[in-house]
Amino acid sequence: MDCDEARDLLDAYADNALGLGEAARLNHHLQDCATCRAELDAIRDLGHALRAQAPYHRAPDALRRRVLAGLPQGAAAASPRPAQPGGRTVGRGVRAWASPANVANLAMGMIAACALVLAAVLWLQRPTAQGLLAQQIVASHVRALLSGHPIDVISTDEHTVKPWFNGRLDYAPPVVDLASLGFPLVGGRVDYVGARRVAVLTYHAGGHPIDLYLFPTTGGTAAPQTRSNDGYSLATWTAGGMRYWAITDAQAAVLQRFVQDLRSASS
Amino acid sequence: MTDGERSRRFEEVALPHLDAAYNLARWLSGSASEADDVVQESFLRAFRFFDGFRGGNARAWLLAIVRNTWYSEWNRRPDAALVPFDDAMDDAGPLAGWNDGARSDPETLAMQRQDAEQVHRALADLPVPYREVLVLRELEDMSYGDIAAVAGIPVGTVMSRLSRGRRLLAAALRDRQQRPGIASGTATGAAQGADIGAARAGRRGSE
Repeated sequence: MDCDEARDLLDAYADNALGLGEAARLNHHLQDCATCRAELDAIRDLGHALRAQAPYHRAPDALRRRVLAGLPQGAAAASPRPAQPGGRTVGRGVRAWASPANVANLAMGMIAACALVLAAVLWLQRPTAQGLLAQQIVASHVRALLSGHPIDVISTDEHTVKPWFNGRLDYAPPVVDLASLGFPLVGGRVDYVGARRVAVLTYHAGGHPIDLYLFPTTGGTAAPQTRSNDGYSLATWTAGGMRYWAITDAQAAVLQRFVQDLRSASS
Repeated sequence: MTDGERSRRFEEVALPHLDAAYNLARWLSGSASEADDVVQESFLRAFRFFDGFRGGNARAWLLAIVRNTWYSEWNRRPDAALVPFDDAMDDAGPLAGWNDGARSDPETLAMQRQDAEQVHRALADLPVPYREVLVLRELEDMSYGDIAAVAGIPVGTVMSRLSRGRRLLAAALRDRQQRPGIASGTATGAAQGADIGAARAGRRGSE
């Protein structure tokens, strides 16, 4: 491979998007070519700079409420007319609601939005089974960090960590390494949560640990739900017969990316 | 399925990606209030199209709707005529390399020392087709296949746009670094100008 051909492939190589054959050929070229190596480093540095410096815009809470209230369920609750999702002209959307003819609807919408907020507040205050589990997981996570002994098996190799659980649990937890995506696996431990022994995998995200709790569940699959408890970000979902809980003190956006990467790597 | 069940399922599938939708809309439009409107309209559309969603990557599905909503409804600014541009320009001429140009100093890997404002401005000033693939790749960590699905372009085009976008961005950052006193916007003006010229030439060529 010459430099011209290599250059065309460097971006895909940096993005882990090359096929094995091409990646191997490019690897071979990179061993001999300092110029292309420097170019690859520059591509990676730019990626780091973007991830670290370019702001990730998170949706404001007001928008979240508006989106929820704008869904036909909200409309149906607020108005005796059946919801007609197909009837609204594309592009008029929300602005159309504010026209004088729709002031009454808007008022009803606001009442519906208030009701939603109130319902959400009441829901948050109710100690649900999931809320209790979340509290236990926060406690377990903090206890592990306090003890200075957060990890029983220290290894970045999934083939070391997974067999370590043999005989310590009555199930085999799936173990996935996400080092190539910026979340290296650093180890695992067994903890006691929700009246059972569960596997905990520890990953790193920058300087922050992410603990991933996983145990079998009878439920089907469920998309991730996020919450925050005492400053920790938590996410939970089910897939492949397992319930997952992830907790970290890193930003919610980091946790979200971790969850997305883990789910796509496991699927 | 009742309306209530449908709404609940939709919320389960789509709401976790609200931040991603907003982030993309912000980077496409460059404005908080436009992003609000684009996202809200997108969720209404997504709900309408929800029956057509057959599982798979919900984030890519939703972001494709956000992108289409913005392109079709909100992209009415003066430079909007540039989009879509002729993809032939992606392959036209050799790509400027990271090691080309006047940089003789060995300190070439200075990206990480860029301050956040400069990186933000440089990315915001990139032509939209490059900006969107970079945002999807670097901030959303999407695969080439998913980016292709969101942007409605072939994977090969994703690759060439990422490649050219990164080089334009690097050149803009280099300019800013070498001339720190110069008002922001000037540095990428040249890159953008060249790009506009190329896009116009491409458009003329295809007419």
